[in-house]
Amino acid sequence: MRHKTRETEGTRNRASATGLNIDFRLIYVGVSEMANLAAYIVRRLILLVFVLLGVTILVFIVTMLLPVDMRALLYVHGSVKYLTEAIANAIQQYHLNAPFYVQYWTWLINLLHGNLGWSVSSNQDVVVSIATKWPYTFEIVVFAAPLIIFLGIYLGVQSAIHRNGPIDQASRLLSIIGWSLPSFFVGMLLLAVFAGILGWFPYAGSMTNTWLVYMLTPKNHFMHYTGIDLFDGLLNGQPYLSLDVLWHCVLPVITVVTIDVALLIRVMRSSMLETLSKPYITTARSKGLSNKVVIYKHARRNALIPVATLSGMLVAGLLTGLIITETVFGFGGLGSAAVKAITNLDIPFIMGYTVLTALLFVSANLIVDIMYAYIDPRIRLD
Amino acid sequence: MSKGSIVEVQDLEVKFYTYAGVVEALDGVNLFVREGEILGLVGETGSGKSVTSLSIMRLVPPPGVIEGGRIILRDSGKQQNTLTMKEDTIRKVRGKDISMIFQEPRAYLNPVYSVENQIAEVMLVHRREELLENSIASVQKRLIDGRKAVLEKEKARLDKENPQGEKEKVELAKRRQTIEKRLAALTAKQPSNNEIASYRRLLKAERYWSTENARQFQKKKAKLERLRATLEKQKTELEGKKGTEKQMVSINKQKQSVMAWLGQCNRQYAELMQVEPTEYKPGLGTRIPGAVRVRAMRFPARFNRKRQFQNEVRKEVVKVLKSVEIPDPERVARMYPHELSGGMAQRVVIAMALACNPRMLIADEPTTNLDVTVQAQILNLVKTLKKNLGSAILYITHDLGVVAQSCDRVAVMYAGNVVETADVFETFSNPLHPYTRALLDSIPRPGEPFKSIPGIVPSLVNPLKGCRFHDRCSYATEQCLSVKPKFIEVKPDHYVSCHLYGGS
Amino acid sequence: MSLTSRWEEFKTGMRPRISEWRFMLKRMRQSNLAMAGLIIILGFVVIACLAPVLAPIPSVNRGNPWAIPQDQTITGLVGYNVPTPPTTEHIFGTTYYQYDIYYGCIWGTITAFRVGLTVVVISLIVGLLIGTLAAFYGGVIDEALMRFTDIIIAFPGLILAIAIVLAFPVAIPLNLSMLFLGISAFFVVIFLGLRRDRTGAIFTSVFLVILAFSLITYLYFPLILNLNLGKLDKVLVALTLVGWPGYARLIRGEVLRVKNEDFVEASRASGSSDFRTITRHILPNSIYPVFIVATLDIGSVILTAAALAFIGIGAPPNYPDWGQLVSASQSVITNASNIVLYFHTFFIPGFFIAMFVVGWNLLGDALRDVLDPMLRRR
Repeated sequence: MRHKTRETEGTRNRASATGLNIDFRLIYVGVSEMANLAAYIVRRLILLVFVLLGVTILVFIVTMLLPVDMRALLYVHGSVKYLTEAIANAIQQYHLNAPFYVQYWTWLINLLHGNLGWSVSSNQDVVVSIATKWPYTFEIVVFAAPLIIFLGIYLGVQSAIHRNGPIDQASRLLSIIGWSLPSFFVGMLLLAVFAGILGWFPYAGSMTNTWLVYMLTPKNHFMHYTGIDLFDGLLNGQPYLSLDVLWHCVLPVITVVTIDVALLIRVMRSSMLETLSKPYITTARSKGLSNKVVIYKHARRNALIPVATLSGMLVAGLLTGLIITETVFGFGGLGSAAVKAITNLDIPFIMGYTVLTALLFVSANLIVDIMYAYIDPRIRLD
Repeated sequence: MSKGSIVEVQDLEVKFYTYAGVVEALDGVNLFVREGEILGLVGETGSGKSVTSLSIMRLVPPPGVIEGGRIILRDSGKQQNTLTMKEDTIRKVRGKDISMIFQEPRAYLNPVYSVENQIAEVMLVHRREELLENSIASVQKRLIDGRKAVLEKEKARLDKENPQGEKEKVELAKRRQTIEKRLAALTAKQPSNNEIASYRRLLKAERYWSTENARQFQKKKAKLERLRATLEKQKTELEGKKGTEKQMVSINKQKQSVMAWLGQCNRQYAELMQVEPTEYKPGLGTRIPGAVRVRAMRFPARFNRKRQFQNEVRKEVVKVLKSVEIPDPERVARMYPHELSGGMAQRVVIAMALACNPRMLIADEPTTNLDVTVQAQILNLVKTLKKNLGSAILYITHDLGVVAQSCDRVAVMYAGNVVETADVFETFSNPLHPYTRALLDSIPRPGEPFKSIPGIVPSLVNPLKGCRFHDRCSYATEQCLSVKPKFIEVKPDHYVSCHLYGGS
Repeated sequence: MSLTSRWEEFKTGMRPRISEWRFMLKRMRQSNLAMAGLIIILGFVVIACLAPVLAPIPSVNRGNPWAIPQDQTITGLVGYNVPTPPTTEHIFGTTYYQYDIYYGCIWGTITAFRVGLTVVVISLIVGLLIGTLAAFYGGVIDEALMRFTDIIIAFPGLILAIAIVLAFPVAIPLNLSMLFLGISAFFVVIFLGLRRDRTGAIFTSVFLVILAFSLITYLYFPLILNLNLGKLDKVLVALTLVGWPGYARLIRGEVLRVKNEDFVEASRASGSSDFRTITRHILPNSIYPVFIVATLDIGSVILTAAALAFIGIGAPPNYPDWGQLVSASQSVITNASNIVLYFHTFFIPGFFIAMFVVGWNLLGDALRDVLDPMLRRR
């Protein structure tokens, strides 16, 4: 076409001006279809519970390798005076001399009540430790995940459409490089360039010390409403605190995005290429639909299906394992705490962390599968 | 050749540049389809039937390239070469003038969208204005009917009343008169200017006004509104005024002039709201630099224009599904392709192709994957549709039985060439080309020995020089090995491409 | 059949496959990126082969190349711990504790190949085995094996690897009897379901013999092997244990897809044993994605190993390994100016890692692009 058309907007509206994309499905999900969907979800939830139980059993078996005293020690607070007494108490309280299934049962009950033991590496209750640390991971993930997903989808689609064009070559090169670089490498490189040489971004940590002190000073009455510093700053009327947190988040987010967007671009691109060669695309073209409608309405939706799984797993993976990035940038989130726990053989924390991870992964799996069943009508009954 | 043909393919050449080499798929194909006839295109697998059909609509996928020839599309006297058309233009042809149905229906339907969605899609691209006008008309009708019902009810109520006094009787009569008048006005009622304008805007939801036009429009509108406000104010002022008779005269004169101005102002305003951006009528997908979109107005929820439009479209979809003899079309419309059986899916695909009443339908082996009984149904359907809609059909198949039964004319293809084309009776009774003869001979008949054509289907990567059939032809001559025969009319309306009939 | 005719038969059978491979190579040669990847990997191979020449083993090591030399000339408490920038003597400079980076990087190439290839090959074999069996036999076996793999996948890979490394005792007494007992029991159960044909009978009887033997030795005379695992070997074991489920899932998906194809049914109908069907028909058609993943996996295994080393779980401090060199530079992040000053300590080994991984990724990508039309042609 001679003049460059910015058809995207018009087409998006045209495609939705047909008004028949999502509306129908919402309106016409009949009773039987809803029942099927509900049954599917219930089945998956049961499976989820089974897998979680399996994970907990596995984790529990690991702890059974330790002698009784060591196991009791896991429940003892770090600052207790009479150690032997505390151990004896713990043994009694948690039935550590009872047969396997009793112990497992007690442990499970305690787990559900939120008592996971005492974390040696962080000198707190495991639950408290996890609760105070996950916001830092969250701060990074909440910016990184959407960036990765949307950037990945967009660049993947563009690469597929203009195959071997400039965008394609550049994306592929960047994605190969991004995927190949070790995360600490990228992180330290960014630190060296942007923090060390240019000084644009702060050096390490999730907040500058002045704000940290501010938060801890009692007379400032800093209320931790959500536990996430980013939001608490705004909720306490201190927007500059939030900005400071944001400033500290930039480099870690760039690190994470660079590495993970590569995979998403690749998968989206190959999925899109495969979809574009499907028969129904020919049908769509033969109906006289414009190229953009064919691509964005027909092809992209089908191509997004495998990408959906990937992004679900990606987000779950991000939430549980930003270990290297957190270490490099000194963020003090879940990942680095997990590493510290492992190197210190802090078993309660490891167990808690493992259960949390398993829960996150399996729920991410479940959410992705439910999304599948919603997007792709063929997958309902499985 | 060109007598009354909708589509005429002349010397079409298509090459596929694959990793295994250059495949010369079509090597000068000559074909034409006349108005309202069914042309059967027969040939073995690999003879180029599908590629020909795709080329007519310019849907040849890469690595295929249309290298030469012309495809003439005739439209009430005008004719264009589809191969040189702009992308916009050919898009308007696809789906509307020529549409296509394919072999494996469930693979050719998008699995994530419902049947309704996919059929409506093509309607909305090509028949949008028509459907919009229809929905406007139907909404108007409902509005009027509603009002009429109310008025009739009032009338009935008034008829029942039986007042006693004189004054009441007069009042009643007056009221009945008003109602009668309103009823009369109703039937002759036209939609108000505002309503028309708002519909027009929904129609032109994607039309762009130039900034200039929009700015002028806004300016004028603002000016008129201000003027109207001032006039209204003056009017109320004047109405409140009372004075002596002399003053009253002038006051009345002022009032008159104000009313006149007001009237004119209102008229101009109404006119303005009807303004169309006549100088800019962009086709689908073009953009005017610096354009501003004018949004359709908000509508009362009871008659949500957009939903009315959607309902109209849905009704059309159901109508089309009914026309292809799908039982319970409302339910089928909401189903997804994977829930349909093969025959049902093929009907849906046919419905999709017919949604915009195309002048020609290309059917690429639509029944090959279906059971024989279903095949018979689909064939009957196709014939009925041809009778009802009058569209021409290019029916591609490798089944000669189907051709004999349903087609009006036959074109026989071999290795990228059309070797013979003639009326179906003529072809079957008097086949001229050796390949056609061999093909007809190879149809198994009970009691007769099985005759096959010696040799195998040629590879088109290194095609034979001269006539491509010469290595399997029992009448091949010296000439056939080197010179390609021309496609000429040997008998009236019987074309052959063979040296035996003077193709040199 | 005579030997020559069998060979002829084999050659004719392989002809389409060979032409496919030729086609693949031609396509690879056409792509610039593929060639770049190949060149990079070959470059690393050359470096690995020429390591004794490029970075001669210092005399203090007495013939053992697996110890990075430390520059003893810079002594004193202050200078000992400070990295020095590149000089003529130390081409890439030295890192903390005066380890020579150049030596570490050159010999680290060999380590990198060792780590990558060992982990990938072993996890490939294990994953292939389990995945194929699960997919082919389906039913309870499939469910059981897949739940098992799912549970392993549910764990965060890195954390699990770390845990395994830390939990693994340095010297494990590997109870060979128990190992053989377990493996043979597993296979006996599988092969009992095999068709009643010669191959199945052979396999079942072989494994039954192993089962009996290991049972006897386990009860009366257990065979214990004391394995001394270096720290790096523990990492290898951990990565293998974490990596095989990926392959299992992948090959399972592919085998499930191929299993329903007509030629498999034809093969079974013509009386092939299961083993023959799998090896001759199913595997060759399902294994190409596995190759692609394996190539890409070598790169990611190296990255994971480097990440582990960064945390401190990896080769001992003087071992020539890229990840180890980066972990030695960890203290660089304590101070802003240090990062710029001692840039070379993490950048150079990191660059080697990056280049290595880039090479394998380019290769894997090229392989994927090349196999794509072939896969689609099927």
